[in-house]
Amino acid sequence: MAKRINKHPILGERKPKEEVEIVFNGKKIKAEKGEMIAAALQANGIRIHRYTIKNKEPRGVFCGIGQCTDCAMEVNGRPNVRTCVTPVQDGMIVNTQYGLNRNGDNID
Amino acid sequence: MVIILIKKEMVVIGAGPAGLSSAIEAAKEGVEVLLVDENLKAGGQLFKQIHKFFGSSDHRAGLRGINIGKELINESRQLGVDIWLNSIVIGIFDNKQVLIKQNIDGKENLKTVQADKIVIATGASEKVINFKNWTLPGVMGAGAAQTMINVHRVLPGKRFLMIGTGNVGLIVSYQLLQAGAEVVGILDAAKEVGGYNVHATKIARKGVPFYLNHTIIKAVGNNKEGVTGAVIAEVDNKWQPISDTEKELKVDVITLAAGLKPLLELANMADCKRTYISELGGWVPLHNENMESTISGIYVIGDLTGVEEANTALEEGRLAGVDVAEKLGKMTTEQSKIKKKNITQRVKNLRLGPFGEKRLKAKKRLIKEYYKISDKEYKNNFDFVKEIKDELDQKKMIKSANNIDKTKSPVAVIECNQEIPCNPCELACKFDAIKIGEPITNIPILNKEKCTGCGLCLPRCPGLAIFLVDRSYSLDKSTVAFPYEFKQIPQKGDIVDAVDRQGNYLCKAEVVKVLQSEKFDKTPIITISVLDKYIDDARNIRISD
Repeated sequence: MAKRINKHPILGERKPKEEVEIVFNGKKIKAEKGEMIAAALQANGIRIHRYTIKNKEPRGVFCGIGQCTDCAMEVNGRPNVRTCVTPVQDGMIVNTQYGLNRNGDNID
Repeated sequence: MVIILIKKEMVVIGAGPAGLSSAIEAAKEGVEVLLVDENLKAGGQLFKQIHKFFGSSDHRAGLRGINIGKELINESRQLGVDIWLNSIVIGIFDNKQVLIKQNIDGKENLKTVQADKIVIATGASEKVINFKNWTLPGVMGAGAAQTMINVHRVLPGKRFLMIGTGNVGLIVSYQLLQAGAEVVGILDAAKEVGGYNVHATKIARKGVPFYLNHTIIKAVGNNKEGVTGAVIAEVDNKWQPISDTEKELKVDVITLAAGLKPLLELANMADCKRTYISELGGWVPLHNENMESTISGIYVIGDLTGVEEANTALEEGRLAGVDVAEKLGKMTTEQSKIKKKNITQRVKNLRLGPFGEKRLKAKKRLIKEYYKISDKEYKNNFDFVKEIKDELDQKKMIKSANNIDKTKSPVAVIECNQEIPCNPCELACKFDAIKIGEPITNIPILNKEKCTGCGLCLPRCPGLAIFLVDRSYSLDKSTVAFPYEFKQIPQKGDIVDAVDRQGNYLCKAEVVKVLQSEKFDKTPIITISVLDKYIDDARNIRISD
């Protein structure tokens, strides 16, 4: 599905950055230091970030610049983190958000 | 959390092109400027704009947006502008107090800045179109896909469907192709392409199908994979889908280029009066000719005051910067008058032509005393490929009439037929063979006698709309040179497929020259030879990436 763009006619060769590991839903995945969580997930073929409260519908990256909040996830235990504008850190724990948090505990 | 109080003469909110240029202009006059942006990097959306910009040299036309961003940031730093990144403006309170949440190394600080003048340059965000399943992951803004590919360098899918043929839709489609994606189509309910012809022809030459008079019915997909397809249909003259024309396209990403809407939360919070003008993107704060809002000392600039191009944002920023400097007593009224006059004239020129006119009128409604409406009548109805063809057919007739002989060496062919604000080709020509003049929206006119066929204008045209045709190449063959901004650059001697303006296969062609130079800024010029009969149609090549 998604892939990293290594060669580009305008931007040139992609310089590989230092590799870090993040934990997505309990599974270790590779990311590049300093890149946004959403980019790391896309590069790993992950595009479902959360499920909505009422209808449990999936949501993913929509605006990519921190405006729409559709890409929010639970990051290091903190829910509603905008993953498109939050850089990864080694060992970061990223979970799919169900409703308002990982467990789907919702305010009804 | 401790709240620290600081004083600054000018606080600029948003470090995109508008905010940066207002900061620069004011700092030049000695104003003490604080520039705040919530992102980790300044430059706003410039860093995803990897194409060459339109406009004039005042707007650094011909440079890629990404490089313009770097220049602006350097300039503002050199001028001593204080830039706070990763800093969110929480609110604007009475007496121009700006509350900022600064994030340094994961630590959050709250700071209140007492400003003399505030410039709000918060920009705009993408509009959405809703259709069935539009919330599925895989449906995203065209700008989001652009950020993914050009900033993060991750391709968020393989096969893309672009909704909307405005400049954003056209440019992002082109950049998706450059990133190695397949664009299975670009769709618009209108019967004409919304953006510039030169942007449309760039992707048409790559064979991207244009679904004009079409709409998207629904996204196909599921809760596990997200988007797996899209159902589209033709629309009738009442914009209603015609049921038996539905068809499904296999795509994994649907990108929406439905325009932008200004982000005016902060302007609203500061009590700036606003109005609704659809041509400008929706609700916009009112401002006078100096970009000052209805609240004295608070300025509104850039996309926030009406969605336009980065060039107008730069100029509006400059206007606000000059006015702030003047009001703070850093320059005399006479000095600022001259500056403002020049900037105002340039902004006006940017809003001429069939594309700018609507915005010009809309802006006039905002500041009615300000702009004059052009009384020219513009054709609004065009079929972008056909129009270029028609013009060419006329040229052919002229050609046969003049009986141009085969001995005539290469000459430029400018396929730029719309009045858009752009003139790098005129400046690129060292032989004074290309004339645009004033206003900048004039269509370039080539003086064939003066044209030496040097080809320097080809890589300078941001629309990639200039070709070099040499009919004297051999007895039965001619050559055409064109800019080619893709990964796989052919080698001299390669046999490739020559295609026409719509990407259709024409004939085999030999690559006779490949020119790459630092001056061309990553726009190599490829020359191919084809039989004479194909020379007026051959405009691109097809090689598998």
